[in-house]
Amino acid sequence: MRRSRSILPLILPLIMGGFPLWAGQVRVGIWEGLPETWDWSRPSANPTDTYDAPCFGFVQLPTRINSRGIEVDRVTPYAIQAGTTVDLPAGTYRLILRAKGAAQVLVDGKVIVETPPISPNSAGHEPVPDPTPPEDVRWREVAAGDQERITNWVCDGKTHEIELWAILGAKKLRPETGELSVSIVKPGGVPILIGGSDQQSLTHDGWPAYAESEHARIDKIDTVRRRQAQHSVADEWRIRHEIARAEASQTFPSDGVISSLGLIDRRIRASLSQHGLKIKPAIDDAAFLRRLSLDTIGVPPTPEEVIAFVVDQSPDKRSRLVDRRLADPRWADGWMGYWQDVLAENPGILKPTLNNTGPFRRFMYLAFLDGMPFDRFVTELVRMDGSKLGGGPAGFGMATQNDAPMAAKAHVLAKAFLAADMKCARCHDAPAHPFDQTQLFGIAGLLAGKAQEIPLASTVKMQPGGRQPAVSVSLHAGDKVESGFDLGDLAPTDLPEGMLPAGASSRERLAALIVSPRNPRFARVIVNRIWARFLGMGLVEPVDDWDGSAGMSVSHPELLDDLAREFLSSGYDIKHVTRLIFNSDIYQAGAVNPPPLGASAEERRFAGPVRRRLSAEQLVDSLFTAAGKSFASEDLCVDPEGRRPSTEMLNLGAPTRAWQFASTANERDRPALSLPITQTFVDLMQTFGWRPSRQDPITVREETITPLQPALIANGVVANRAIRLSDDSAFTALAICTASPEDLIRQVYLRVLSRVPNENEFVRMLAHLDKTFTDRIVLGAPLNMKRKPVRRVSWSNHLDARATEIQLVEEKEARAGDPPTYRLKPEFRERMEDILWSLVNSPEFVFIP
Amino acid sequence: MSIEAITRRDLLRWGALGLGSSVVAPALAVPPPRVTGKADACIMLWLGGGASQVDTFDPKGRGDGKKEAGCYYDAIPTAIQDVKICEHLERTASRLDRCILVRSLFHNVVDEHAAATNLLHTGRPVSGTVTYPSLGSIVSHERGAEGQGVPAYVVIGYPNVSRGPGFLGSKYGYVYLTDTESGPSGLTPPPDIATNRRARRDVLVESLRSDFEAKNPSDTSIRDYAIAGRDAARLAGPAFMSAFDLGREAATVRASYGGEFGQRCLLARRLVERGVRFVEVAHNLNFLNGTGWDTHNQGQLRQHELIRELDHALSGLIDDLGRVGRLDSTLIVVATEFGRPPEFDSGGGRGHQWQAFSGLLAGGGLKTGQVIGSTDEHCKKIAERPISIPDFHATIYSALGINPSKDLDAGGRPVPITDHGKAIAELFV
Repeated sequence: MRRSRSILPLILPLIMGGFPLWAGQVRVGIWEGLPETWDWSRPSANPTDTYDAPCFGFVQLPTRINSRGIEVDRVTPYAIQAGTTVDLPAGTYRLILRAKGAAQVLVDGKVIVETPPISPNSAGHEPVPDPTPPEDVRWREVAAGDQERITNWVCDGKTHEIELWAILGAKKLRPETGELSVSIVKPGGVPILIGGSDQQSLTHDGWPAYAESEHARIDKIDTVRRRQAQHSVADEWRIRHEIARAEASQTFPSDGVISSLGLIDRRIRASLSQHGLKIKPAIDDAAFLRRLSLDTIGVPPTPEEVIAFVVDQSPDKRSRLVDRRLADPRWADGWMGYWQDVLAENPGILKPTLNNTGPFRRFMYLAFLDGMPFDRFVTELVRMDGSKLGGGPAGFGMATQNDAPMAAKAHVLAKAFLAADMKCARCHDAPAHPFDQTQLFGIAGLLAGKAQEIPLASTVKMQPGGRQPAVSVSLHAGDKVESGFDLGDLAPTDLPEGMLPAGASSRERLAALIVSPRNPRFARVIVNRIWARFLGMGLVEPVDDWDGSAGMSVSHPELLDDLAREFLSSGYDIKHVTRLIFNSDIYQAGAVNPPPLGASAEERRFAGPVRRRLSAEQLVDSLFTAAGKSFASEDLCVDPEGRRPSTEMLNLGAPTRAWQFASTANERDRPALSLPITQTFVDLMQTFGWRPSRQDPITVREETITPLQPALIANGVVANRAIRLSDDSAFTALAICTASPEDLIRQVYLRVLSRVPNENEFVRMLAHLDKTFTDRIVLGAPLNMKRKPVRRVSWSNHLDARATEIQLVEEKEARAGDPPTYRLKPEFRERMEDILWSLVNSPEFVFIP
Repeated sequence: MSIEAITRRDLLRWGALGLGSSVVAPALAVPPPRVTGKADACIMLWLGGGASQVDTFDPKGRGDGKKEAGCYYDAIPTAIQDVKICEHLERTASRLDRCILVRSLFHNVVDEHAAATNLLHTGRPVSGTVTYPSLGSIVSHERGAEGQGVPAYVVIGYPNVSRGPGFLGSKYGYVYLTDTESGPSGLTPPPDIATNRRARRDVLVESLRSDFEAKNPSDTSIRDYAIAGRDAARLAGPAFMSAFDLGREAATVRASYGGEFGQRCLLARRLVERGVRFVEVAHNLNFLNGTGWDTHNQGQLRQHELIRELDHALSGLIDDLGRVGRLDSTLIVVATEFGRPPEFDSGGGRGHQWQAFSGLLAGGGLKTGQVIGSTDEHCKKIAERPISIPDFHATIYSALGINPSKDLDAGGRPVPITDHGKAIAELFV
């Protein structure tokens, strides 16, 4: 592992030829809340935070958390300080400082090089800076918006203290590290990051590898700290879960059979047999592995996993696989798109538009990564604490340009967790639902902690001469609504004793009322959501609206309550309910057609799961997993320089999973603000039902099949990058290393479709390769990899005409996709790409088995 | 006399005849008879950034780019008597008899590009509970594509929510492209895929497709996707895709449209000819002057190049649609999110003004050669005949034979196409 260090740093110089010598770890301190005019004078207080780093290279700092493990923002401006001692042979060295904003490097307490502070920019009229190639072609280019200062440093061969100070964030500046680093160059050498015993170099390959390992290392520090903090409130939650366990069998009385084993199939079989029907036969092992993998980790299995699973003879291999998949950290990725939709997570990267929230995707991701019990997840969400624009649940509390943000949140929460659709109640008493405006604004009041006033825009406008509204209006603009949770029979308002500590806030009270084990609605809604997600159709439909005029339509009421009871007594454990589903015969059965639109409960019989198409996220992740490529998209940010505050422009980083993309729309039509590679992903995902902008909550995406969907896989940039045999493609490696064309076809099928080809397919695909396999390799061919130029266009200069010219070139390059490898002859490469193209364009690829 | 036939004039006459005001007042609420046009397609030129009405279609006074407020250019006479427009709109000026100037557009979306752009596209302020559909999506929903195997709605510009289908659903969304040369992404095969390679790929995928269908004989989702895949191949086929081959136009025709924006307009004509119902052409390639139409500060200095490009493209489009006999059936709309004040900012450019700005309509079988509304002497306030955005949209819908007060279904909730918009009646024959 990259971050492990030798315990004998002193003998390293001998091994490394005497250069360089660092005295072990780099100690880092962070001081928060410095004055805006801080003058580098050493803070007298202790640092807010300290940690160890491998060297003077910073891509991410540990996140600050509160006592419950919720991430909070550091108070800006803050300074980071890193120090170590160096022991270098006498000589003259180049010392390189790279920083976004103001930073200083000191040797033995004396400043030897520094970068100046940067200023905010809102106008966008600066000139685009000229490219600044590094001093030596082997060095990594200076990153977008970073500054570089180099100095000569004469070392006398003695031990010296080296120290780095850097300021992050300020009024109207986002606190971002950029590629903050200090490195040192021996004449003729490449820059080596100061500190640590691993030699980390500031080269084209060295820095990205270091950055990746450092991101992973800091994530680990964060996880350890977060889980420790969560542990400190574990008792409180253990008590609540005991209460829930005790209440579960009262809220959902069982009919005698207590074992959760086989519970699902017993109920399903009982109802099917009434119609003389049976559960469809189970799908084969390979198909099951693919279905389960897509449903849990969001990507297909690896070829090795398919083979190992198919040859495994043990009778419990399916349930062991279920356990493995549920324990996989990618389980969190698999849920993200769903909750982003349901909770209307809607961060905007360019100035607030309607209903932008903070990027609380991070809070959700960490909650699923940590296996946070679901009642606690809801409670933290409703508390709206922590970081607002940096990913905490406070971001859920935002709704920009909305004159009643808490009413908007009350609507989201009621729909998500109680399947109570109060959308219409925003402006009038809902005609088709049993909700009036007072109920919605009452919940809003609990969230706001005070009585809510009805804004003018949340009323029904009466036009002179216009028709009479068909709805009843009981409130008017300016009317005040008292806080309160009153949904009538839908949810009780008494809580079991001991559920809430004295002095709980109105938000905590609201959260408790939602998740209360006495509230049968919550547990039913959540287990129904899980069921519908994996079986393609709810036990109750519509999943997020149970009170419409048509009434609630439940196909298997006993099963619904069995699962709800299991959910409560497991301590609100999503994984427990999911495990029951995955281990059932009904989940493992062959897929069936969806029932007709608006089918009655009677018609929803479940002889097998309903056929599901891959979600947009699963599609993109599957394509790139199969190809073994990274998205290589831009950072989701139009201000890489960091010269606008987070309130106006966010930097959501470069996505590694498809759920991390965000809207690129800015309604400005300015090419200079485009993110060309990101746009190709947004185009594909949007066509497959993903919403780049989530102004309102939904549960079921638009599923209409349109010709544009297959068209985009056939012709679009993203899918064509996935099948392109470029030098970073796993398919290219496969084509070069595989001994026979038969084996190649087999491996390709395993990677793309998680199965081996049948006899016909073998014949057809081999015929397509048409003898090109034998002589496919070009010996000694160079790699054909293009390195992306550093982004020079940023908000500050996007109105310079050159910015548009640069971005138009970028768009062209993005459309061109990945360059083909030279190591395979074009005749072979094209034919193999044709095969890959046809596999990803076949319906088999886009449907869950 | 049936109630529908009662006109406003009748009512006034009855009032004059001595019928009490108590009778007249409620009766006045009867809507005027609906006007309707016969246009079959619409090309909307979108001047993103907020085009300065005082520097284009509503010149007032002569400013100096500093203290003295007013038009930055001279004004010239047009084909409509006593009506002047900016000197850089020379070609349009001589064709203004085929146009309608609307000089009294207004709204109250303050100073924000995204929100105002949304309003000009959907006709409604942003709402916390409903995502409204755009003009193009509503036209697509109401009239569909005119031709077989072509999309109803094409955007030549960047994708965004304002241009989207909102609650109507993705079926009424757009196909978009940002570059006339490469065609719409998703329908244009990668350039390195030669025809023969495409054919051999199609054979391969069809075998997989039909195998999979055969393996799942009664699966409707798989069947639908397989059908969509075959439709997609047709959509990406020559019938529609040939529209993007501007090289097939005579050099004189291409030249008559001018630069890249003009070529986009030429493409719009070719799309309309193939049965596309609504084409939006964005004009904000900001390398001409940096800022595009958002002419703050030094963006003003080279604004005339932008105006000239608009002039060239718009006049070219009017002429060319006339030449192919489609001007009467194709409505041209020139729209922008707001205008700009006559005063200059400290950098010599202009801020935003939403209280009064201009739009233009042309062709579409309307009674052209008219100017609707006017502004005060400084072009800051509307002097007469304010036209709201819903009214402007109602005029566009009516010209296309769409009832602007028809209810659409937003998930069970009735939402009229425009928010009480009324078409400008005198434009209809």
